[in-house]
Amino acid sequence: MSMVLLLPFVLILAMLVTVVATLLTGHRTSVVGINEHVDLVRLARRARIWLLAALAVAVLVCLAVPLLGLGGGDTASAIAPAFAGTLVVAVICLGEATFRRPMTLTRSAALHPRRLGDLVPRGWLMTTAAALAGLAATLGIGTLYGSPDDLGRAGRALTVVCDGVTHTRTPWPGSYYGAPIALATAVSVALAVATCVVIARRPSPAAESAALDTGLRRWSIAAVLQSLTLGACLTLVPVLLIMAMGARSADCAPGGYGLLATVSLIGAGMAAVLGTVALAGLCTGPGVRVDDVPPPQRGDTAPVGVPL
Amino acid sequence: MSVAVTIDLVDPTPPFEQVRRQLTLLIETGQLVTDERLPSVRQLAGDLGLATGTVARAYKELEGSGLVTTRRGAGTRVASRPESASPAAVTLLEDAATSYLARAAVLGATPEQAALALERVTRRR
Repeated sequence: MSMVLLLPFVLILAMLVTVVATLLTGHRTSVVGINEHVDLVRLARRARIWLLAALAVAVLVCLAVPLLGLGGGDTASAIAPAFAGTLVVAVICLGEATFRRPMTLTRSAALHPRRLGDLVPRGWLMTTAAALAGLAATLGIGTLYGSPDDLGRAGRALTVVCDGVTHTRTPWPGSYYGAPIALATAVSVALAVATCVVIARRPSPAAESAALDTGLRRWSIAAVLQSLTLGACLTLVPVLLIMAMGARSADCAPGGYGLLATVSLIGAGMAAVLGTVALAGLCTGPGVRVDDVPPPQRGDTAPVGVPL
Repeated sequence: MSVAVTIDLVDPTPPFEQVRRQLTLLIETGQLVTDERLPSVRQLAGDLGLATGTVARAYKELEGSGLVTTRRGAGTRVASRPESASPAAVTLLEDAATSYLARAAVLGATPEQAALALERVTRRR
């Protein structure tokens, strides 16, 4: 029943992702001529296929774990998004690490040092940092307000005492859920950092492909950051909604709980939007189109007329 | 496109010597300027499909001839050059001047007229 109620929202989200992905792809496609940058075109195609496959598996993991009760408990559902994000990052890492430059008899290399700092897209770095900081703050607040439930299990309930009567509200994202989520997120962040280093160190196939190569590296690092953002947002939305419901249900609680509920709801909305944008960015992939006549670039000489 | 190094495995010259020779030429002709950072040994070796020891040997020889300096944490950079041009640079300049005079002769100009043209162009810059 709950899945039927969720279906329209899932469809709207899918449409939104498709529209944003289409808009982004139009701006990010590089056009190369036939037999130009062959190795990088192959790498881009392979990366796109692998990434889409990893995304499909990640979506299945996110749906199957809570629906089928895999993993032995509700903690598994809580860490499923972080695990899915880690899976996507691992696939990107594998794709980059297995790239080998062609062993031709003549080889060239640009004499420009590659630094990780030059390749990281600042916008996505800030966005990912904001999403992770939001997740850390949410888990911290949840742990701070959390208390044992009726069975005495710590960090699973919100307890409010009103006129001598104790009200306990479950579930609550306290330490019981917060610790595994924090651990899973820390693992995915560590893997993401390692993947970014692998991307920066990947050999470049030829000096003449330097511009396209740098573009593909930037896209790969952006995809890593988008995976982290998506994992953090997919964790944040349900956690903040549960937190908002828990704080709002405490009728006799002090005013701070109402503020916490409102902030949690706003945060859940922002995380949903951010997660959608990150998913759209991931779906676009490295756009490299092979065309027999690449369109003229800004600054190119005119294709007609006689030079004077 | 930025400056690049090319190696040809058919060439009997060892790869480390090809790398050293091209880097020397790029530094002598000013295409790599003073204090410009060179790629790390690992990066250049990976991009050229060579062993790191091969590129490290080329860098070490460049360092020995005073063309680059290597410091821990700062990488390998082009060393500052003395005010007077090196013998290699003087040779390259003389080659370019010979080509210029040959071109001037084809156009019917005497060496003196070619020198005057060069002076006029220099004043305009």
